[in-house]
Amino acid sequence: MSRRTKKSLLNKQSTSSSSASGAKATAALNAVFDRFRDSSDAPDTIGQNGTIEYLEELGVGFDEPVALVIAQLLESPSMATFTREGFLKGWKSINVNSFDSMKAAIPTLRSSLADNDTFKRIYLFTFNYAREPPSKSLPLDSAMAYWKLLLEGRFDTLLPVWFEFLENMEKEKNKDLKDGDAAKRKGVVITKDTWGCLLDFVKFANEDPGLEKYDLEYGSWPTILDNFVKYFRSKHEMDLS
Amino acid sequence: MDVPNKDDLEQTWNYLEQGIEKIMRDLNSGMDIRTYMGVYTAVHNFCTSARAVSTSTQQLHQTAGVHRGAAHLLGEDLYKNLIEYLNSHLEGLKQESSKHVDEALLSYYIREWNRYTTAAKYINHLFKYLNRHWVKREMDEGKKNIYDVYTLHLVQWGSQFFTAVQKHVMDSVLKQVEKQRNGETIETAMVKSIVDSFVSLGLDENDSSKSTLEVYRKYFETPFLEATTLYYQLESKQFVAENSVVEYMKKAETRLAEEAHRVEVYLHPDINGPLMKACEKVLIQEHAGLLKDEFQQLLDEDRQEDLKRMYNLLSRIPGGLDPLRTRFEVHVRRAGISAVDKIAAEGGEKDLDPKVYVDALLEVHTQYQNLVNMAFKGEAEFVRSLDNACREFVNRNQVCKSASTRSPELLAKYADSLLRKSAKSAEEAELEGKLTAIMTVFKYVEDKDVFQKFYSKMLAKRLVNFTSASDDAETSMIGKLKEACGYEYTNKLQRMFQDMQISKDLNDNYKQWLSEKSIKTSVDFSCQVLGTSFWPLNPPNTAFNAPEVINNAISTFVDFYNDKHSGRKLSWLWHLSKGDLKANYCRGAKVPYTFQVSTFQMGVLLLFNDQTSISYESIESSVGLGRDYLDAALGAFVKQRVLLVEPAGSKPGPGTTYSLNFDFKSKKIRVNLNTVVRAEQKQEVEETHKTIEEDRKLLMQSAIVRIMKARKVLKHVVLVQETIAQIKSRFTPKIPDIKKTIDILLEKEYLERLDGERLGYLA
Repeated sequence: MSRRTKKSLLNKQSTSSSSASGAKATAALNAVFDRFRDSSDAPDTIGQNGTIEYLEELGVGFDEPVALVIAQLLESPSMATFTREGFLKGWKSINVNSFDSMKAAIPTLRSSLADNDTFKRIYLFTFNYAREPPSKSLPLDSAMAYWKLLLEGRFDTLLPVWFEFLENMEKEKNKDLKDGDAAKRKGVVITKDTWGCLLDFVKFANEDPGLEKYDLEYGSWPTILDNFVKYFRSKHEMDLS
Repeated sequence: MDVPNKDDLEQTWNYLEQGIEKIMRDLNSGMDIRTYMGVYTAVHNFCTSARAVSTSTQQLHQTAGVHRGAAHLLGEDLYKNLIEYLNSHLEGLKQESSKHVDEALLSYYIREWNRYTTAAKYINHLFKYLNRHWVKREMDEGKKNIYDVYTLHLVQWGSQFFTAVQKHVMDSVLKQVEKQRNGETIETAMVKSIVDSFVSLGLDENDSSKSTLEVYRKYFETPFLEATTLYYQLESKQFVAENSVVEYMKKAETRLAEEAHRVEVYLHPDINGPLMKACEKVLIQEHAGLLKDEFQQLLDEDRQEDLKRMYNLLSRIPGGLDPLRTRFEVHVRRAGISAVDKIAAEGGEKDLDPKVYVDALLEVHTQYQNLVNMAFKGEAEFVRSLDNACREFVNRNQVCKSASTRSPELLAKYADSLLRKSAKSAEEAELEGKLTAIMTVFKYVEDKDVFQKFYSKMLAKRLVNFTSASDDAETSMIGKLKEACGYEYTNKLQRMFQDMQISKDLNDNYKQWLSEKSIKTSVDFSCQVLGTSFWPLNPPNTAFNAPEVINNAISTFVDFYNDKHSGRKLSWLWHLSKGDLKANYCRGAKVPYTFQVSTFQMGVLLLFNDQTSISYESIESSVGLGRDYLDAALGAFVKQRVLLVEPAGSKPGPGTTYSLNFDFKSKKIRVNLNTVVRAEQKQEVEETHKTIEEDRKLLMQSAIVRIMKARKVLKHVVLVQETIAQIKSRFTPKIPDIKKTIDILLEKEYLERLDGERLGYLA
């Protein structure tokens, strides 16, 4: 689904600039791209160092949500990587063709997260962005870091409980392990489905902070969220008694 | 007396009245035909006379014709006079009736009624002309309250006499009935006549030739029902205060039968419904609570007759049986649970004899099935309560506490014990009965997949070890399972059977092939070729270097087999194979002993053809067996003194040495050294449970994929329901397990999540 929305957005935004100015813009953007590309990077790719440098110069912190907005805009295939194709296409789509105009666009990109649809797009994008192939899911620490980044101000009351639950779950999985068995540690992983459903859950929880209407029996939530709600409820009961 | 002047009303009426009076009062003494004809003619003449009428009337009726107008008036005079006569006659009756009470009043009423109605018929005939012309015309013109002469009699009886006396009459009737209810004899024919007379008074307003039951219902039925209700209310209240519930039920039963009989003998059939209803209300409904409270006691004491009585009574009132069904269900469930508790306490859960367990379940079922049939007429709802209860205690009881899969496991084991060859094999007919009984329990088992797993394991063993008692019994059992669960459920079982048949032919063909090619083999060899996907058999979990003689035999067979079927791979299940060895070395034996051994044991023992004393390590490296198997094989030899261990008394293990015992002695010529280790069986049970879990996951996955493939997009909750519906016949899936399966399928990208709690199928 995220794929589809992305495509339609691009179509809408790719404005028909005249081919002359188009060529000029391409040259200017290529120049910016090459400035940050490292000789050790793969062809037509900006690697980790270049990305950090680039964001720094744009005045964007790597641990800022807007970094993800940029990554999504430029179709970054994985963490801290830009491709030339995505870079050109992305900036052109919002009529940006110089480093200065990139810098100027940051505030707009930053505020775009306030829009729910945009946020959802960025949120869903983040899963693939953060994923390390061939794994199909996110390791827990990485998922938690991104949740913290993205959900701040949106899920404040429950996020700590959710993290606590996940960490307990990991502990439970490894409770039989002895100290030396670090290699055998089994991590909790967050699947794409869980990632996607959590956003819906955030919306649900904001409307029903006590999670009273959550249907354990017949709801369509993934099992992990069912277990979370059970955890939340038993915790709640303990607090009451 | 002569026929009067046709124009003179007074004269005519006087003449008529005498005739009528005679008919009414004294018909029995007879009426001569002349008088009768006279009256008849007088009516005719009077009605047809062309007597002058007043001018005004004539003018008014000009268009209608003079004749008609005159007849109109004249008929009316006669009609009115007749009414007057009847009224005064009935007034006389009324006076007279007040002198009578009770039975006398009834007989007076009936006598007068009979006399009156008989007379009415005659008078009606005499006034036929009036009926045909004047009455008919009046009625055609839609005049109300004009009747033919007979009906007029009834109407007048009703209004002038009946209304005044009906209450007294009815009181007397009710007194009679009460007398009868109290056990006295009464003249029932009298009551019947009263009923008939009341019915006759019901006239249809729109069609006087028809009657309605209105009068009867109002003046007879209603008070009758009221009196009945009151009577039984009092009686039953008093009776239950002084007697037991069971006695009361007998009483109520009798009373209901009496009332039904009463209807037949002297009441109108129309009262049957309302009367029964009224009686049921006071006799049953108003004491239903009392009956229901007694139900448990009757169940506890297994009083079938009284339970039947209670069923019959309560089945007559709406909703009367519902609480019984609920209690019955609870009772049967408890009975089942406590029966299992008992055997679990006696036998210990772990080593419970399957037969004891199944018999306990069956006993409870049989007892209450009989009860349902005997006492509850096999009524479908009670059958359902029984089924619900049985399903509960079969799947949830003390024995199943550790795992709900215990029931199917024990049931399958019981089936195995029946179908396996044993010293006390049952007679064929008896066996068939027992297999049918197994199916009774099977019907209630929820985890049918578990039964299937264990059954097929044990069937495989019976077949492979040739320990099945009877092919017919096996076929019959598979047939029963197929009937209950369908082709898919028994498919593998049937294929296993087929493989055995095919293998038999195959071995025959092999022998023929050997003789055709003049190949001589050093061992007598036969084998079963079993399709891997149908048989629940695992490859051996140990390495094994088969003895050379065996390997030679096998390679000859493989040549033969590949000739017939190219491209098939044969793997050898050593752990299930066995053979006989002839021991020619024993000094004390006149006839050589035959050792029945497993193939593993054979591998060990044949080593002693070359050496008579071998170290453990050397045996281990030659045979290649895992230590578990090796130790078991050696252990059996040492125990039976086929081999002697050095140092003496030690357990098999490194550092020990084995030598052949040339002085081996046995009472039997055939010595069975192939004894199964029990620990192995236990491990097998655990493995079976593990495979069940795996199979269930797969079953849920394939069910979900199948549903989604067909439906493409489905609401989550609907998918869960449909999955349950599809799988229910095998086991009852838990919703969280289904959800987990959905999670897995989402992860595997068979499914995708859509908005609105829907799921989509990804091809």
